[in-house]
Amino acid sequence: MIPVLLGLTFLTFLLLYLSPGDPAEKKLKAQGVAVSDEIVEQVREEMGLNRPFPVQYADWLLNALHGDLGTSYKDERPVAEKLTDGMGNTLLLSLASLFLALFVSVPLALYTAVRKNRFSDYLIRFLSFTGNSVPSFLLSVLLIYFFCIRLKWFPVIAKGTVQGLFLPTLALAIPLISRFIRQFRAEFFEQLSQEYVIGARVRGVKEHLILFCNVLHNSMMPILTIVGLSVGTLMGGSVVIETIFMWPGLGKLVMDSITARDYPVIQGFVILMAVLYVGINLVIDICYRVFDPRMRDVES
Amino acid sequence: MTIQKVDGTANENDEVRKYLITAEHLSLGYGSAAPVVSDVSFSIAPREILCIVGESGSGKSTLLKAIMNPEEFGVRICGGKLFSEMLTDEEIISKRVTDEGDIAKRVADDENIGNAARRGGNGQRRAGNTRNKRNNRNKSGKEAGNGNTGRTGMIFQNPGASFNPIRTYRKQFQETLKSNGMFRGKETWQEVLRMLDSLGLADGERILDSCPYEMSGGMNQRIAIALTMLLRPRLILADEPTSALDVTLQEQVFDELLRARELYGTAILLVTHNLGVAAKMADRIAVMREGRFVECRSAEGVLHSPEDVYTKELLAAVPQIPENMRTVSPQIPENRKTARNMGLYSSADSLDLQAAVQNATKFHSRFSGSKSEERGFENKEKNEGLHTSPILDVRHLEKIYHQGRRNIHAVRDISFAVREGEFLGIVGESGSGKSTLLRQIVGLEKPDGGEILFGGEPLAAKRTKEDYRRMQMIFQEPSASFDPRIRIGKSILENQKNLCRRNVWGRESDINELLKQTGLSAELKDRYPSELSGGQCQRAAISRAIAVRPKVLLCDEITSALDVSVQARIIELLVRLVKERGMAVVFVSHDLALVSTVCSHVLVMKDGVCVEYQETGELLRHPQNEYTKQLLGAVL
Amino acid sequence: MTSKKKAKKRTIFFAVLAFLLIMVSILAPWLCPNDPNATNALYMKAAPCRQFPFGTDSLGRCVCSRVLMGARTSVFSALLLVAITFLIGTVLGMLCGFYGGILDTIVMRLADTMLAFPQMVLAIAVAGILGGGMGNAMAALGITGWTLYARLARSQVLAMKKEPYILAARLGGCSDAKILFRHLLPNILPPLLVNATTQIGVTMMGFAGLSFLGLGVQLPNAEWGSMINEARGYMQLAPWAVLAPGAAMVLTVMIFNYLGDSVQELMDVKAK
Repeated sequence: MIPVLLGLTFLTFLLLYLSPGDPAEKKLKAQGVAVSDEIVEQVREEMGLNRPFPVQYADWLLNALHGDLGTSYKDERPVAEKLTDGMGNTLLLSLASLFLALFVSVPLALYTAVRKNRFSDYLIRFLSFTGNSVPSFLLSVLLIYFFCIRLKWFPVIAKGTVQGLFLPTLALAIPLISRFIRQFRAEFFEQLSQEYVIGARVRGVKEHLILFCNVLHNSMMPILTIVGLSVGTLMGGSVVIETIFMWPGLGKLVMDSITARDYPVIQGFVILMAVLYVGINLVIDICYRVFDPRMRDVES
Repeated sequence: MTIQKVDGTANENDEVRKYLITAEHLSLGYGSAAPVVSDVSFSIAPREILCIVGESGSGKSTLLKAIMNPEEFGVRICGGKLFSEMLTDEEIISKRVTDEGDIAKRVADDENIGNAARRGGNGQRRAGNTRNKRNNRNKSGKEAGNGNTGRTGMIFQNPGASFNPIRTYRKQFQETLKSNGMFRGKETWQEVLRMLDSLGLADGERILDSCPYEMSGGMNQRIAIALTMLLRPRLILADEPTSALDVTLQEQVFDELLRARELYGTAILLVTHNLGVAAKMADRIAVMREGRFVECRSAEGVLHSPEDVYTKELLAAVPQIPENMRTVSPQIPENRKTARNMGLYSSADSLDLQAAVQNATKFHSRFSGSKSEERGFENKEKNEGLHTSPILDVRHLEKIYHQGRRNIHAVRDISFAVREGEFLGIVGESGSGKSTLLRQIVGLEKPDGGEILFGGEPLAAKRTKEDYRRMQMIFQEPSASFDPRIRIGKSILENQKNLCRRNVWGRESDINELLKQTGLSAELKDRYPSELSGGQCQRAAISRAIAVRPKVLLCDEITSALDVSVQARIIELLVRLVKERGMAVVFVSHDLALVSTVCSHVLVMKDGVCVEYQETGELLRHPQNEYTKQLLGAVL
Repeated sequence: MTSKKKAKKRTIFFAVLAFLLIMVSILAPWLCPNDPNATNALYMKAAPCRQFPFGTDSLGRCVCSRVLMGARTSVFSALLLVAITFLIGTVLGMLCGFYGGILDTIVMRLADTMLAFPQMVLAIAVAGILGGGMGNAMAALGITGWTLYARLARSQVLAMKKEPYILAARLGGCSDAKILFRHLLPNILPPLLVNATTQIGVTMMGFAGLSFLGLGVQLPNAEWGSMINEARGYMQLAPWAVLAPGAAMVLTVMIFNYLGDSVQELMDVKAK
């Protein structure tokens, strides 16, 4: 856990260090100041760029631990502040999509796992292939085309309103749904073919008890893992989708920063995402222990 | 259906009514493929234990599945009739639940038999189909349990299989009983505890609050039996209930089953590959081969005077401790004795087994020659004073595994020695460290202490090719010991090319000759491992090992994945080869009887420790250690 | 038996389709009806017609030709990247699994660290900091791509190395290299290959996503993602400029996904 976090910060720092060009120069350019050697040297000194690399890293890490991720090149605002501004909107969008995806896929997956027939097979195939073959940016563009341009149901620019939340949520959720249904269904199949299910059936345990008390309970952990892993997709997807729908979240912030070459913000974004991702998967690990008593025993 | 149809069928019904299950010329199959079971007839009366014995692929499990629930397992009844008293009518469920009285229950049962019989007598009754249709129709109704609950219980081979591993027993007991309409709160829990207690599982409360994954396989199996018994089945179907368990645990499970029969009069249909198990449990034995019954008679009859050639072969193949060496008689469960006194068994003495074994002398006579020779040789040696030093000398070997903070002492201070032409047996249950020991000797794992002398010279931890050549090992899983993507012949040659200089061993590089020596035909060399049977693969593994002319052969449970008849032939081959080539063999097995038939010395291991190391005869006659005695007692 | 034949047929079918696609992308310069980069002020946002089968974009460039040239970029870069990450990942993973020790610890820690970044987030950041261009986009996607194969190869080797046939090979005097490449590699290859095949589609979408954000292929080179991004502004007027590259993209990814899926099915059937 800690080595991973350390490595993660180091890599992110390295990324900026290795980026082409002199940070001082970049900063000045981002602010639109005329560049001369004197000013650059002065800014270099201010930014501590003349110190050796490990010192710079240690200094940066220490600051990062205190929540200080540097200041934006563009407007001199603290990066942390800019990130917290965007985070609320991104969280709203991500959570909405995640819940929508779970809400649709769990029942569908369970249904198709129990009623194994042609129709459900086709449904699954269709969903998983369209979902896996249509990139989210194309999906968003198509959604905009149909709902905003053709049908005129929604405004083209979302601007963080509830009405504007709908399409981006859908665009983020559809790929998740198609992936979830397939993976959850495989998991349910796996559980249903376990010998304890046959054992319970032979003893005459009612089917709904087997399904909801045993199969669903035992599939909880793999499902959680799948969800945890998909959070990464959700984060990457939100960058694209927020850019398209102009949703004022982290994704849009980072894309604007990339255009403006505002590197500290990009760096802060990557750190935040990685820490969130690791944190979420840690929480899932803990959930594991709640659902599966075997895990508790392994630890103690 | 037509209950009072013809008087003529009444007699037939009465005839059928005596039995819980009657099969007449039954044929079973899967899908559209040819039947796996054909023309099988038998019946089971209450309190009776019928054992179906057969080797793998004989169709015995299919038969069991068909009786249990053909739909669930996808078994198709292709012909013949299966009468069973398994529950089909809802009224009878309710009757059984409401009427606590024994008499009422029996009436209901009788009615039930009658119903089934009538239905059966009417023609082709497909037990599973009828029942399932009924279930489907009743799905919306309140009482739609999905099987023959309360009538037939089933116990599976894999002890973990019956329960959801991460749900407490209490919850699982509750849902089972509730589904069967037998749950009435506190009262029921008392009944459950009584049941657990009566089957020898004290501390029921603690058991109920634990999860199956926390329990050993044997314990799980016993709890499964308890739950099955709570449903008051009149028949228990047991599919190899002990073959996944160690011998000492097997005992407990058998006791449990016998006690269940004793207390509740349950009939048992036991499917097993192990004739010893059948001999211990059965009232009647049916021997099955290639989907047919070759013999189905009383246990004594089958064991004493087998009529069929195959039965005789099977009996001969079962390894037995030579009688003259045996003093500890097999344990006879107390309740079985009582049962006998009650006159439920026609004859039988505890030693009927031994008598039966006289038929099996063929097995011993095959090996006795070589064995007595060895023993003689050894005695001579002792008398003359050790002029041949042991080829392999293991001294104070240790192995410790570190698992987190815990240290597991897998092998603790093991010492032994083997001479050329000698068989040393190592016996122990799973997890006793015997496989680890072998791997250390052969150089696959580094010892944490002690030393290994080969021909008087200590072996380095890093083995040379010559070290590998002098010591070869044969593994338990026959087909897994060959690379699945390389043809058998090539695999055998690869070793030889790696380890031997061609000019020296030129004669043996002829692969055909090698295969012939192990009883395989030459054309098999172009096959892939998956295209060979287990026995053939094991022979090929032996030829791969002997191709490099090793001085010591280490055998790790080499027959435990094989059927008895195949096992007998493999052992025969091994003994012959050892005699011809004067190798030393370390023979590891969990089967004391098997080891005692081939080995001159036996080392008994438990939890990584050597509990006894003795000359075979001495060990059998005068076992010193309690654990050895237990093992001996468990030999069927 | 029948399911095996079916799976085989399916695999062959999609393999042929994938092969055709690769051929098309190789022959793209000769198949183009027009110069993909030539602008034409007379035919701006023209609807599909005989001269421009898929219409033209806002600069009057032939969409059809650009889609064909885009195939080249997408298919080749995806195949190349998958091949590179597959090779590096597999070899590293096998060595880690086989020898364990310090190498294993270092490589796996590194992989863990890489996996702590959501792939697309890191790719966007890397490409954003390094600047656009196909080389940078490949580096951005490849930096996490190898971990998949490394972990899989390692776990497979760890499981396989306890198999009796590997132990038997060791007792038979095989050298480490021989065990690794003659006995282990062929046996762990199928699941790795299946993974690589399914990864082609994913990689393609990754590239397109980066290009869409302007972090992949640089103008004026044609790439499906960047074409869609360019054209979405005037989608009301010229929907074909979005739909043509979109359809090409979905079709291509689908073919590779189906190929991966049927290869997987074939392996599963064979395993039985």
